[in-house]
Amino acid sequence: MSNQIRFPNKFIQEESPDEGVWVNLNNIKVDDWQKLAECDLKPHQRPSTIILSDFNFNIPDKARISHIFIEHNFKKESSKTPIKMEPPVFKINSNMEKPSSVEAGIYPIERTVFFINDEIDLTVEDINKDDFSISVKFPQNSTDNEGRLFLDFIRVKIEYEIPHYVLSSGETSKYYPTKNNPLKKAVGDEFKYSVYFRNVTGVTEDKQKVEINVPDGLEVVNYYYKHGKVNTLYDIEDSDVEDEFDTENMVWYPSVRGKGISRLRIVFKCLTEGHKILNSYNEHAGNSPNFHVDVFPSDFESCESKFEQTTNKWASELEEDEDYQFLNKDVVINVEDVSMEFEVPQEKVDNIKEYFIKWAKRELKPKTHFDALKGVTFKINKGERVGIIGFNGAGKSTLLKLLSGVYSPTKGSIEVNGKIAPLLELGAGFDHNYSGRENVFLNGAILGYSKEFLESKYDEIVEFSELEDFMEIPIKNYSSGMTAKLGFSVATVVNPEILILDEILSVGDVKFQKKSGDKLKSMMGSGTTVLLVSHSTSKIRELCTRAIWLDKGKIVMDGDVDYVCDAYIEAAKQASADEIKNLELV
Amino acid sequence: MFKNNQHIQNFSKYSFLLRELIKRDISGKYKDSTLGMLWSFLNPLLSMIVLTMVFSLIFSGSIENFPVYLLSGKLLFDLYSNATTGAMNSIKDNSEIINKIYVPKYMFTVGIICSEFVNFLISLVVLIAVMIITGAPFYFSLIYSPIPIFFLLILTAGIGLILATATTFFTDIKYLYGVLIMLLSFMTPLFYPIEIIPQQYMIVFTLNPLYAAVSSFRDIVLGGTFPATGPLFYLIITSIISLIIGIFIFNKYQDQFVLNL
Repeated sequence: MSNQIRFPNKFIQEESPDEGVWVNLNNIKVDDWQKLAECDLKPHQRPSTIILSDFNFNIPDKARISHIFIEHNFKKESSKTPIKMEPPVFKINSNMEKPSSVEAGIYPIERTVFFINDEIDLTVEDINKDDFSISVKFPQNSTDNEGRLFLDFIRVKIEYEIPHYVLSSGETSKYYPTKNNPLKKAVGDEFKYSVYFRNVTGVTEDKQKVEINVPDGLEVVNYYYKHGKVNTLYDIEDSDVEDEFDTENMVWYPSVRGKGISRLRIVFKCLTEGHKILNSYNEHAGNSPNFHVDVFPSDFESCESKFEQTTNKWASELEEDEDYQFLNKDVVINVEDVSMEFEVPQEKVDNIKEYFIKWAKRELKPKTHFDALKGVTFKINKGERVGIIGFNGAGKSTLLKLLSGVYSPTKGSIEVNGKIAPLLELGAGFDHNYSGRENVFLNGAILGYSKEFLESKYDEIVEFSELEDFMEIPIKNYSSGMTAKLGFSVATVVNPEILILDEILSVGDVKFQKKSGDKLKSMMGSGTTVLLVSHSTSKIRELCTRAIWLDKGKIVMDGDVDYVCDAYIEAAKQASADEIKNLELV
Repeated sequence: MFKNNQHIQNFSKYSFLLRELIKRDISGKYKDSTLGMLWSFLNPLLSMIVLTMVFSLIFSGSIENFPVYLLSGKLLFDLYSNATTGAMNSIKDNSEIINKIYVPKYMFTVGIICSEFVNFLISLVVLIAVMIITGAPFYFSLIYSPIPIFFLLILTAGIGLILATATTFFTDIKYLYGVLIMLLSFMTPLFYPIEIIPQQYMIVFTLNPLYAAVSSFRDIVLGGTFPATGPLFYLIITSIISLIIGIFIFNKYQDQFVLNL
C-alpha cells in the first residue's frame, strides 16, 4: 500500500453576487493555523463554492487506486453572536459527493472525508490529469448573525497499490543448489526444478508469462502444477483459469490472477554431461536465482541431495508416484467414532470439607459436560500428510493430544500403528538445575527414547542445536531461544513413522528457523505420515496433501487440501472475531 | 486385566525414563545445598544424635543400645513417610509433563518411591557405622533383613499409589496426610520402648503395619532372630492388599488425572 499527499495549486471560486467571497484563498495550500483563507458572511448567506485542481499527482500507471482521502480544516470566528455552519460537501470531478462530518466550530479540528474507489471508479489517468478537481460547496450561515468563516487547509491523499510479482525457485531452502554446491547427477538421471510465481498485491489480473531458460542437454520428462487459486478472506479472486505450460518454447502461463501463488515443477532428464544453469524470467519479477546442476558421466552414482530431501512432494505428484500409491494401502491411524468429553464443574470443589458439606446438604451440583470432540471418524494411510484446520476451539489440539496418548477418549477407539513422534511440546520436563547434557537425556527419556539411542545420537543433537559450548552449564542460564533450540533438537532426532506437529515449525532465530523448517521437511519425506495443526492455511497448503476441517468437535470436511482450505476460508467470513483470532487465512 | 505383554513392553520402553527420574529426584532432593548427597548420611546421623541425647536420659537403661534401636526404627519409618509423601505429590509435581506428552503416569510415582529407597540404602551405611561404633553384634539373622524391607516397600508403593490418585482430586489430602504421618510416628515406637504402652492400648499398635515392619526389622538387627511370625505375617498381608488396592485405584482413575491437573 503506497500513498501520495498533495495540496492543490489552483483555486477558483464560483463568484456570484449573493455569496460570500473568499480572501487569501492561497493560504489553504499551507497547513499553518495562522495562514488562513477567510470569508465574511451575512445572515443566511453561503460562502462561494471553491474548486481546487492542479494537484500534480504522479501515481504509477499500473497502480490500482483504493482510497481517496480529503483532509481539511475549517472553523468560525469566535464571537458573542456566532454564526452556525453545517459541514461542506466535497465533490470529486463533479460526479461523486460526500459531506464532511463536523460543523464549523470555534477551534480548528482536522477532518477527513474519504471515498472508496470501488464506488467512484477513478483510474490512475483520471487522477494524474490536471483537470482532476475537488469542489467544496458550503451550506449557508443558518443564523441571523454576521460572522467570519476560516479555512485552514485542504489536501488530498490518494492510496494505491502497485502490482508486485515475485519469481522464485526454492532458494529459501538452506540447501538450494548454488554454483559452489550444485546438484550432482549422472547422465540418464532425473531431477526436479520448481518455479513459484507469486502475485503479491493482486492489483492486476493480467495473464503473465514466465520463460524457463533451460540449457541444452536436458529433456522434460514430466511436469506438475500445484493448485494456484488462492482465496483471501476479504478479497476473492474466483477465477477458473488453468495453468498452461508450453513445453516446446518452455513458457509457462501461471493460473494465478489475483493475489496468490502458482507453482510449476518440471522433471528433467539429463542427456549430456556438463555444468547446467537453469533459471526463469518474468518481465515484472525479473530473473529467478540460478539453479545449478552438474551432470557427470552415466557411471557416476548420484544420491539424493539435502535439497531434494527437503523438497515436499505435491499432491499432483503423488497421484503418479507408484511407491506412494503402494504405501498408501496401509492404514496407520484409525480413529473410530471418537468423542472426548470434558466435565466442567459448575463450581470448583477441590477440598474435602466443602465436598462433604455439600454432599451432606445434597448441594453438589451435577457437572456440566462439554464435548470437545463428537463422533470423529477418519483413517489415515501410510505416507499421507494431513493438515487439521478449524477455528479456535474446534477441537484440533484435543485431537492431537488424543492421538499422542495424553488424553484417552471417553468414547470410541483410536488405533495407531507405527512409531509415533508427537512434536507438540518442546523441552517437556526440562529440569532447570540440570546441565544441557543431562537434560538431553532426561527429555529424551520422557519422549520414550532408549539410553543407547540417545548416546548414539548425542553428538548429532548437540551439533544441530548449535550449543556445543553450553552443554555443561545448567539450562537455567540459557536464554529461552537456546532452550527451544535444545528441545527441538532432542525432539527431532528420531525418524518416526508418524509425525504429529502442532505449530512449532519455527524456533529460535531466523537462521535456526530456516534450519528447523528444513529439518521438519526432511522428516516428512520418504513415507512418513504427517499430521499437522497450524493457524496458517498457507502452511497447510504448502506441506499437506489432505486436510480435515473440524468445527465444534465434528468433522465438516475431509479431502484434498486446497479444496478443503478454500471452503474453510469461505466459512471464515461468517465466523465471529473470537473464532478466527490469530488465524492466518490465505 | 492382564494384558501383560503390552504392559511389560511399555515398561521396558520407559525403563530408561525410570532411571532418569530416579536420578532427577535424588539430585533434586538436596538441590542448592552445598553438601548435597552427604545429607543422606548427615540427616539420620544428626537426628539420631539429638534424639539419643534427649531420650537416653528419659529411658535410661530400659533400652539396650539406644542409638541402634532408634536408627533401625527411624530409617524404616523415614523411608515410608518420605516415599509416600513424595508419591502423593508425584502426579501434581509432574503435571507439566503429563499434560503435554504421553508417559505412563505410574512412572512418576514409582520413580520417587525408588529414589527414596536409594536414599534409604545410602543411609543404611549410617546404621552399620553406628552398629560398629557402639559395638553391637552382627547376627547371622541379618540375612533376613531384606524381607521386612521388601514388604515395607510394597506397602509404601500401595499407599503411595492411593495417595497420588486421591491428591489429584483433593488437594487437602496433602495437608491432612502431614498430620497423619506425625500421628503414625507416635504410633510406631521409634524412640521409646513398646513396654511403656499400657496393655489396653496395644491393639492400636498391633494394627499399625509400620510397627509390624519396624519390630520385625528390630528382631533381626537387635534380637538376632527370625522376626516374630505374627507381625511379619500381618505386614505381608497388609502390604499386598494395599498394593492391589493402589494399582486398582490408580489404574481406574489415571485417565482422569490429566483433566484435573
